[in-house]
Amino acid sequence: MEIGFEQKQIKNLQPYIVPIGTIIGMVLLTLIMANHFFGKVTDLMADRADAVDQREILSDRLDILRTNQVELEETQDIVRTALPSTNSSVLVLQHLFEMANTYQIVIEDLSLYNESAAVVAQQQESPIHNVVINFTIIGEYEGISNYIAKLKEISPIVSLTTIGVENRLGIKEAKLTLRTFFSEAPETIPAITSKLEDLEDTEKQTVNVIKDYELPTLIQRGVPAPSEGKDNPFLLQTGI
Amino acid sequence: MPSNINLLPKDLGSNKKQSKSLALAKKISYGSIAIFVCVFAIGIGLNIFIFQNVSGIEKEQDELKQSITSLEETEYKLILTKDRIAKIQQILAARTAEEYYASQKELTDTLPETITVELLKIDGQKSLLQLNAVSSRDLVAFVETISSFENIHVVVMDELKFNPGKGYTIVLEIT
Repeated sequence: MEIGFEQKQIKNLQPYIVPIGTIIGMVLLTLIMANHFFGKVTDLMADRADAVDQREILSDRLDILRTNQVELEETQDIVRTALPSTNSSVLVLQHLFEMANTYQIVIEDLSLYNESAAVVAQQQESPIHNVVINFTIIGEYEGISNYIAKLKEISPIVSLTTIGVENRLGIKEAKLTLRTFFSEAPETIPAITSKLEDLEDTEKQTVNVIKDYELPTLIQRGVPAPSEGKDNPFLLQTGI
Repeated sequence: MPSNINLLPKDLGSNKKQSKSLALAKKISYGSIAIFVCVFAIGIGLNIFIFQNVSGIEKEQDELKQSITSLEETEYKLILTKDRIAKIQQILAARTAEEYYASQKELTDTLPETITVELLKIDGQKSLLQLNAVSSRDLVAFVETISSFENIHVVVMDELKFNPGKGYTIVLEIT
C-alpha cells in the first residue's frame, strides 16, 4: 500500500508532539507561575516596607516615652498649673491678694466675668476659656509699679488687657483689667501607629520660662495634693 | 568497520537527522521542566522567606505595641503637656500690655526726683505716659535720655503744657 505524502509527514512529526507539547506547556506554566510569584513577592515586599515603617514609628514612640517618663512628671505639673483645665480665677484672685499684701497695696472695686462663650465660638477645635478680672489698686507708686510688673510672672498665667495708673492729688491708683485662662484637657490620644513628636526646643524654652513663675500658696510644687475626703460624707470616720 | 544495515522497507527506515532533532526536542523539554521546577521552588522559597520576615516584623510590632500600652499614662502626659505648651505659647505671644508696661517701667524707674508720673495708660496697642516736671531743664534732660532705652522704639510727644502752679506737663505716646 502506498503511503501518501501528507500521511508520511504526519507520521514523521508524531514523535515530536510530546516533547514540543511539554516545552510549550512548561514555558506557559513557568510564565504564569513567575507572574504569580512576582505579584505575590511585590505585595509581600510592600507589606514588609509598611511593617518596617510601622516598626520604626513604634520604636521611636517607645524611645520618646521611655526618655520622657520621669522628666514629664515635673513638666506636666508646671504647665498644668500655668494653664489649668478648670477655671483658674480663684487661684489668680488668691495670688492677686497675696501680691497686694507683699507690695503693701490695697485692692478695690474687684469684679470678674466669664468670656468663655465668645472665645469658644471663635476657636472650636482648641478652646481657651478666659475670665476677665477688673480691679483697682491703691498704694505707693513703687509698690503699684512692681505689682503690675510682677503680674506677667505668675502662674496660672494672666494677660493684662488695660493698665491705667493715675496720680490723683498725691494718691496713686491703677485700674487694671486682666484675663485668666483655662482649657479642658484633650480627651483622646492619637492612634498608636501615628507618629509621636517629642518636646521641641521651643516648647522646652517655654517650660523653662514659666517654671520660675510665682505660684499662689494654695499650690506648692512637690507637695502632695490634699486628700479628697471620705468616700461617704454621711459616715463617721472611725479610723479602723 | 560495521556497515549501516537496514532490513526495514526504505520508507520505514530510521532517519538519522530526525532522531537527532527528536533527541534535542526531548532535551529541551526536560530543560523546560527543570526551569519550571526551579522557578516554582524559587518562588515558593522567596514567598516563604519574605512572609516569615514580615511575620517577624509584625511580631516585633506587637511587642512594641505592648510596651507602648504599658506607657500609655506617659503618652497621655506628653500629649497633655504639648497641648498646654501650645496654648501657653499662644497666650504669651498675644501679650502686648505687659511689654509696653515693661518699657514704660524701664523709663519711669530712672526718672529724676523733679519729674513725676501723673498718668500711665496702656490700652490695646496704645501706650500713653503723662509726666510732670518742675523745670524745663529737667524735662529736656529726661527727653534726651529716652533714646538710650533699647525697648522703646517710637516716642511721639502728644502734648506739652505749662502751668505756673504745677510746672510742665508732657504726654508721650510710647511704642
